[in-house]
Amino acid sequence: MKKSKFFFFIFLGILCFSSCVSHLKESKSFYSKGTELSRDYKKEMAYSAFKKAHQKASLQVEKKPSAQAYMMKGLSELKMEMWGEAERSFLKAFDYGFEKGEEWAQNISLFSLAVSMQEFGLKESAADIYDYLLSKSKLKPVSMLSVKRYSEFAIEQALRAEPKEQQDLLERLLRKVDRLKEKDLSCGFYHYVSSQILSHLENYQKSFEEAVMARELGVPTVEIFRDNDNQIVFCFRRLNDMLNQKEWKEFESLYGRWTKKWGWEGPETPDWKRN
Amino acid sequence: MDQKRIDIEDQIGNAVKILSEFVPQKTALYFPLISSALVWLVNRHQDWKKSIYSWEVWPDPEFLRNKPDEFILDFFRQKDSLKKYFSQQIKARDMDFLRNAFNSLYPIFGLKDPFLNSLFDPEIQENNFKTILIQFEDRVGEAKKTISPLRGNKAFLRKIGDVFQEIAAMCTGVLTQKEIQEMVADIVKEKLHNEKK
Repeated sequence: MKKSKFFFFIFLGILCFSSCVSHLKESKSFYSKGTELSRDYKKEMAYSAFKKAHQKASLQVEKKPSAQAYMMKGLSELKMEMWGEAERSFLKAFDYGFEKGEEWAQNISLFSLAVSMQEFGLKESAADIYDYLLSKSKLKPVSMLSVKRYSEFAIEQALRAEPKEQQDLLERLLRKVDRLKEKDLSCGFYHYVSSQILSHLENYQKSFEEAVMARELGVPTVEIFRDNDNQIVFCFRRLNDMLNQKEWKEFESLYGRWTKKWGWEGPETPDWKRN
Repeated sequence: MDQKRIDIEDQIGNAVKILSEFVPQKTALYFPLISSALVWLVNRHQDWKKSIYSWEVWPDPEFLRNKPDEFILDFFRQKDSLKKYFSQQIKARDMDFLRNAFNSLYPIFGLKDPFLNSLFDPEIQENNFKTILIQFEDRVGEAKKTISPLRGNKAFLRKIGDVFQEIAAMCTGVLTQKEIQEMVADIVKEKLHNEKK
């Protein structure tokens, strides 16, 4: 009798342990599924996967809290833009021994502070924080969001400025984005931002090159993907007006190779415009 | 019209009926709702249920909105109807006006956002840019508010789910996104017409 009780508790223990392990495992698996779906621009489905990853990580945190469990919880919360929750999760992860947890939590806290400031109309103070985060944050989603928001602010300011000042402001912004690209050359979003700034600077050749890089490396959302395609087409039209015959021929042939690779119907018809 | 198309139309009609039980008095909003769900089906997303659950993720455009003047002018010049309607502002390079209009029109005509295209379908068909510009924020806001309560409504999901499943089985690979949108538009227009009577 005693023996069977002993085995029963052993069995229960194993069951409990395996369910904890599987929650964490499942959370990781849903999270990577979500990342994959995001890469394919299936935003809604990616969100569902992150939601599942969050549910599983929360279960794991309840049953057997650990640095990893809190980190998974925080990462999925970050994907769902639950700033306050993500900050708390990373702080917990830090308590359980995840060294970067505290810094990540601080980055998120600063970012959400900037978002609130922006909502209350304190644009310049918010922009200062975004500026700080885009160069200092070690958390990629935060630096990406910060660079997007800071660029909007800086471009808006440049558009209101006199031509000379406008040029300076845009070039300063471009240098900031260039530094981000140096740190992470494979981030398509940074190339997209760079292409947009270069377009404001009327450097269409480079803007085109950056947009091609962005397309090849992938961008975070389908809206950005389409906007980037529109930028490619816009550069094509501008360069058609600006280049001399020889330069245009060279560019046109290069352009044709890319659009053929992407399966475009014509030089100005990306595949998604067919429908 | 072939039998399959008629069957699909019947099923879309059922979906509209189900929606009217849950969001009465808001017929105009059915169109984008059903239309975007069906677009997922046409694009063969297996996980349509999850897509519906995640309506809370509003497709906020995250692209950089501040464009150079030339980009904005190019956008208005490339589409004949826009070029014609905004000819005076284009000629005068009235960038304040055009930039404002661009913010509402670019996601619809430039990025072809399926939800916004559905929401403003009648205006798009009639090139009624004025109404789009005037009503853009209110209508988008209203659509957000109306759709939110449906989130997580299990009874609704179960009912509409059965209909969508039928449609999915019938229309995979048969119809294009455009055809589906036109079909839904016709059904909703007819329903609106009947309601007015």
